[in-house]
Amino acid sequence: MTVEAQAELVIDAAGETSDAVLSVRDLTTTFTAGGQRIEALRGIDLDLYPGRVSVLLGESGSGKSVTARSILRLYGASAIIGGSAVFEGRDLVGLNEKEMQPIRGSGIALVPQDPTGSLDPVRRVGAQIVEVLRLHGVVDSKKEAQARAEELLGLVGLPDPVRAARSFPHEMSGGMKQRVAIAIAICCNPTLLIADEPTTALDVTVQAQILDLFVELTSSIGSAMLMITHDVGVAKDLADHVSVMYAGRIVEQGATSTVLDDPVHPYTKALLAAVPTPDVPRGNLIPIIGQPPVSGMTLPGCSFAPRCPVAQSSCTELVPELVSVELGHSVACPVATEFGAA
Amino acid sequence: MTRFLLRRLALTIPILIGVSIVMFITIKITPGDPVASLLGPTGSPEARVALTEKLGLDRPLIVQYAKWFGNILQGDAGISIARQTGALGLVWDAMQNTLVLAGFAAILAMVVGVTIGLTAAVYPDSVLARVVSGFSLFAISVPQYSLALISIVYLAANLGWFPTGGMNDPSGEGGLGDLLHHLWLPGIASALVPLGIIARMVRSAMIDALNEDYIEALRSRGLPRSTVTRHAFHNAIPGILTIAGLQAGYLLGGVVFVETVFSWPGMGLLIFQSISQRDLPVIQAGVLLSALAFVLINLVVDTIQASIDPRLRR
Amino acid sequence: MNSRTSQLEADQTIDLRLDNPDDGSGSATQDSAAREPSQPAARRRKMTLTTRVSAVLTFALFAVAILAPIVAPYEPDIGDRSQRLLPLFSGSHVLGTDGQGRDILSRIIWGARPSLLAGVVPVLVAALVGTALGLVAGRGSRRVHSVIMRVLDVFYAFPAVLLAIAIAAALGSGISNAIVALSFILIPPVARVAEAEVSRVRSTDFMEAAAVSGAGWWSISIRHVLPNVAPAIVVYCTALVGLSIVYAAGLGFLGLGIAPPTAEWGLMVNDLRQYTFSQPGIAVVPAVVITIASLLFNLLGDGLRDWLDIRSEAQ
Repeated sequence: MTVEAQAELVIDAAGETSDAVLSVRDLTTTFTAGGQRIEALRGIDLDLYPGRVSVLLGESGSGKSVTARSILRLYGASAIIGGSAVFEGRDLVGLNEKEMQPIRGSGIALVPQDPTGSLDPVRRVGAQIVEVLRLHGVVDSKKEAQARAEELLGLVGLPDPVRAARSFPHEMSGGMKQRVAIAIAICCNPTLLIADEPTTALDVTVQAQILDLFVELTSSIGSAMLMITHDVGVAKDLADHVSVMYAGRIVEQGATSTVLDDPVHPYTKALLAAVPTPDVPRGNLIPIIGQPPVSGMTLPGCSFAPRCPVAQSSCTELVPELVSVELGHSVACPVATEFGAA
Repeated sequence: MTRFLLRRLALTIPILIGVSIVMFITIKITPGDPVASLLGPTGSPEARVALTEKLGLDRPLIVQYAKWFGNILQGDAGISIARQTGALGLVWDAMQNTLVLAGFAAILAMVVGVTIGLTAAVYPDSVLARVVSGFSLFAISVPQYSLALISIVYLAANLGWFPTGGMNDPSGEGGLGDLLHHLWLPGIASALVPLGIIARMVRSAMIDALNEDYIEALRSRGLPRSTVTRHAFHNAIPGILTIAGLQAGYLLGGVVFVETVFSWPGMGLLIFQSISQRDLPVIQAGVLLSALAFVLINLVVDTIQASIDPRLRR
Repeated sequence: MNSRTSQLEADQTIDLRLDNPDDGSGSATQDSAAREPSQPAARRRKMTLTTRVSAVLTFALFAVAILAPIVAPYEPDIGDRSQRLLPLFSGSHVLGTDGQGRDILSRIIWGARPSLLAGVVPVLVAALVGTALGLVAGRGSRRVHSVIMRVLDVFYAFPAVLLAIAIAAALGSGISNAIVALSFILIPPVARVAEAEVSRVRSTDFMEAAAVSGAGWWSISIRHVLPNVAPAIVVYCTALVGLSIVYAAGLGFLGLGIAPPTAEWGLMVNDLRQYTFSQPGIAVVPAVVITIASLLFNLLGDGLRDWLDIRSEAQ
């Protein structure tokens, strides 16, 4: 996130007045299956800036991954997507499959959660990178693509890139595969890199290395990054900006320091209290009582109200809006913000 | 890959020995005394003993088996009772015509079956998809002789589109065109069931492959649908080949009926004729050769699979 | 990856394993894994109409075979020379008459006796022997297991029909020899299904509990394993009857079954096919009857499998 990198990207996004790479407004995703409607996303607002790492933080099932896949429009006809997601001046929500294809991988790249599930098991690793390079026209010849693929494999920290390019995915460890997935994701210099829990499936020792790699790469290529995680520690270490999700909505968002050091929303508070830190020994952790709502169950009012320690009767009536409590910090909880203001 | 091939070959050897033992047992279970039937009712006790010794029938079973197996390796599987020539040679000649028919049916089943299965997988709501998924019960229920008869009645006899039997037109010039003309009906009758099974297998294997996690990853990289489908197909091929290899057994077994109905001068027709003539050596040689062919086909299938899916090479 | 399996199993693979993969098979597989082993019926669904109808028709088929002397309109073996080769639906001969003027419907009805016998008995034999082999293989030592499975592999190297032909031809024609030959080729697939089922049951907790309680090998096998593997085997064998009928008629067709003039479906196919051109209608009658009978058992097996919610893990 150097100044140079930012400047470069502003020039890249020619004609774009806002410096946000992606502006998501009131994004909703509804799945229809067997006559059932499941509201997975209920109005997401998000702005992603070049060179900056934004984290979507939340429990599993809160809609983090759905957000990423909705932006990339990876769902078929079973998902109804509403709102807008403006990327480089185009609203992705209105694009069809053909128009989305050149954007995927080239403009917006995704690093999936499970490295085993992100690579074609019967193709050599190098060929899979070459395929994407050739597809998006980044290289002119097959030979150049091959060389670039090996270069990328070296860039993501694989010790023997030439050999790695000739390997099949099953010959690699989880960490190595994730490095390959990252190499594929950055191969076309995407403006936005989305990482969906990129370390969850890895060994603890490898996790830190991969996260470091992400930080290094985003700052070197200057792309915007959306990191999806349930891990408060990851968010603290990496994020410039945090959005806390609960049941398909963002309940609190802002700069990492304000949101995670000085949380306002009762859910964020509870989430942080449930995480061990050096200051808080494990024994003093406070679990969050109850279960997150089953997806598809639409309760009136605030979804967190049934588990909320400060809930009032009014909480089950109106859906709380995100309200700015200070510059760049908004919270969707009238009760907390009132107390905060008082 | 070389190591895989060697190991796979090594695994084939005990199977082949097992096959030969089973065949030897079928020879031994034949009721009646072979010496008596060779000598006729007039044979003296001395002649009996002499012939028994000459045939080696007084030796332990294991020695008899070893001798029989040695003969097989030298291409001798006994003399045809009806035709008085080597049974294996007779079967070998007929086998070539059978391979023409079975090969044609196999290509037909693979090409059409894969095409239909792919279409059904990519367009899951189409009528074709429903027909394919409902086909299997019918496929395993309908015997080849039924199919052969029904097609001969409706496509050859009623409509007159195709010749009703034989391999070549005796009055015509012959040639490839004539052969193809004669191939269609027996080919379709043999191919229909494997075709349906392959189509169904391709469909389900493709649907499974398209539901794998990496498919979404591929799409997230901007690959068009056709390329993604190709990746999925590449992954589905080994499973499809397994089923296709099993269909070879169906084809080789089914030719007995199809060739009989269509008078196709192959191994199946030869076996049919040999049954009524009680010409056991020919039947045994035919079954032995078919088993050998089946084992070889499966060896080839496994090798292709391993060359396609690196995970199978270990 | 093991492709040393025969047609027989390919059929059954389709039949028993590959049901609609897009009906959420993932969750269904979990269902069966979580299934309480001793109560397969607990999750019983409603029996479909197709299953009920095929069950009723299967019973009817057996009833017709048993009651042949009563329901058959004519003597099966006595023909009327003046009534030769009548087409379908000709007066009192609904399915026409054959070359000797015999009523085809009556011959189909009487023919159901040997045809069903040669279809059902081999499956019963294979069910007994195959289950025993599967039990011993699935619960025996590693060596016993591999010996049994390797021997079965040898049988899979033969195209099933041809092996049956080789055995039946060696033994000589006749319905009992055909039954022996068919039993042999049906044992391997049943044994494989049984072995897979036993292996599945073996790994469940309640089996370990039974072993810990000190019950003996036979007592565990009979009291705990068998009841749990039986439903899957019964369902598999029901469908196998369909295939067995086809094979039995095939042997009859080749002259390896019952001897003429006794009516048998496969023999009738071969006898009537000479009239393919003069009387195409009657020529296909026995072939169609065999197909329908086979289809009935396959439908019944398929329906029972869904009804009992059995997912065989046989490979």
